[in-house]
Amino acid sequence: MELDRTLPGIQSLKHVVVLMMENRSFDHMLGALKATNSNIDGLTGTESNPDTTGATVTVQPLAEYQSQLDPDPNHHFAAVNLQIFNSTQHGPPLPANMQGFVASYFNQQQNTQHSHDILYYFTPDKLPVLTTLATQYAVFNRWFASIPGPTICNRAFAHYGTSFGQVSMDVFYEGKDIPAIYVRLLNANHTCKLFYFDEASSTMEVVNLLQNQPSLFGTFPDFLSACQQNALPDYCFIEPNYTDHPAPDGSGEAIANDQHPDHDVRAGEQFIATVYNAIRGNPNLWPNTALLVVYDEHGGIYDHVSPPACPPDSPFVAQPADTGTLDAFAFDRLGVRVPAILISPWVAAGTVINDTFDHASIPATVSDFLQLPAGNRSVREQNANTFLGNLTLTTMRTDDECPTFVVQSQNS
Amino acid sequence: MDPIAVPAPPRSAYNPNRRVSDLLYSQLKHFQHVELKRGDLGIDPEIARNIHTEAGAAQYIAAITRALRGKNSAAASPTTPNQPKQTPAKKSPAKLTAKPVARNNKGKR
Repeated sequence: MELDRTLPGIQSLKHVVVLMMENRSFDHMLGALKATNSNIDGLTGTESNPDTTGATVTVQPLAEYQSQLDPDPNHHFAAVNLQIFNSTQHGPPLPANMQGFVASYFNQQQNTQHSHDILYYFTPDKLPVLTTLATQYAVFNRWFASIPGPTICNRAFAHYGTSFGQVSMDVFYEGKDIPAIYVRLLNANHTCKLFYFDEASSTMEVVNLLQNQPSLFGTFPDFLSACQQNALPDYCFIEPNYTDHPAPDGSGEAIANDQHPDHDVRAGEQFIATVYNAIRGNPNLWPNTALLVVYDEHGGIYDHVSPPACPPDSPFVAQPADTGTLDAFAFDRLGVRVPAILISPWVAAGTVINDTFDHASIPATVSDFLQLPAGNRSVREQNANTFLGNLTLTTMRTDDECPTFVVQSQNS
Repeated sequence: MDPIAVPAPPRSAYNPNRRVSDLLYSQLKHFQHVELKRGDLGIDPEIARNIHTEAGAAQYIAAITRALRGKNSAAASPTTPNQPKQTPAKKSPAKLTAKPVARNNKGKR
């Protein structure tokens, strides 16, 4: 759908910010919201998987912040194939019945009872930030990981619109002919930045962007400073903290806030709130900024929605040796559904978006909004839906109508 | 609309000795690829070997990230306790021996 540039929210828009978190499925984080808003395609409570004894296991609102999804659920291509198709060998034309999550998690520890934990989901009260943002702004019912696989190749879709035929974490894509969105922006005289949390966490974009274009990067404190100084670039991408480590600046303990299992989910809630508050708290920034909070992939955790087909990312094909199944993969179907929320004072509270999106929608949206030259873009990006058309309000929401968060200290 | 409180995780949630995850293992391999290719980043081999925990991996990642972003000198960094000296790198970085967490292993505290 062509962007309506007469929308007041689009006319006001100057900055697009994307925060990409880690490894949680839509139903795991937001599925409980169906109970209060039937338009949200979450859980009824009757969804289930068989376990390895053949017993039917039902989803439960028993997700904990930490120590539950340990060991880490498998989210590589072959394991996700099992989760979606209940088969370790083949995908389509088998039905995508989403019945293999418990069986897949059983493989991590051979513990029948523990394997049931993969069906647990959070009650809304445990996720005050994500719940508030999803209900007070726009939640996507159909944002999927770009491929049914792990982190680095999915994140590649957010940066390049493609993973260059990779379905694994070994994405050494140097010298490829599809430039990252950041390069395209710079070539068109726009500003952009990738903000990682700190140098000790750094970025997942190592071999290409960090090595060859280190000036693209900044730290999370740089992001906060940019917000305070009204100096946000036209587009920026934020990465969370991927590890527990002593802060490089000597300021204390830096707890992982990416929400990747087994990191404490509350740390990620505080991180999301901090990003939101930095924009929301600046009256010069808030009217002019759209923030997308999205997750890179489902982390092997249950979701009930079958991923759809999509245009193949020609010419790329992953062979069975790479997929770990008996099938090649033409990048012609999406990964499992993930939480995605669009935040702006030009978005009506309670908005639910039903069009299909994946991470290729990110460079597609930025490119479309800033009217970049067409250039060399992946097939997937060319066909991806864009999301800024959801800034539909004719009048900006008032300050009282938009939530704020108080990030508490550890002893609060 | 009243501000919404966002509670912090407990102190016990922090575990820098947690074994590296599959994701972190892959990130480390990418950094090793760059270190090997560049050959001139001046990473302390002791740091490059101590990458089995999140904190150890973070130290290695910080060293290479600083080097790539043109901050090669430890003295130029903000004050950090026990900052190791950087010595010229060997031609090949230490082989990645860290194994990602595959079983229930909460790591030592």
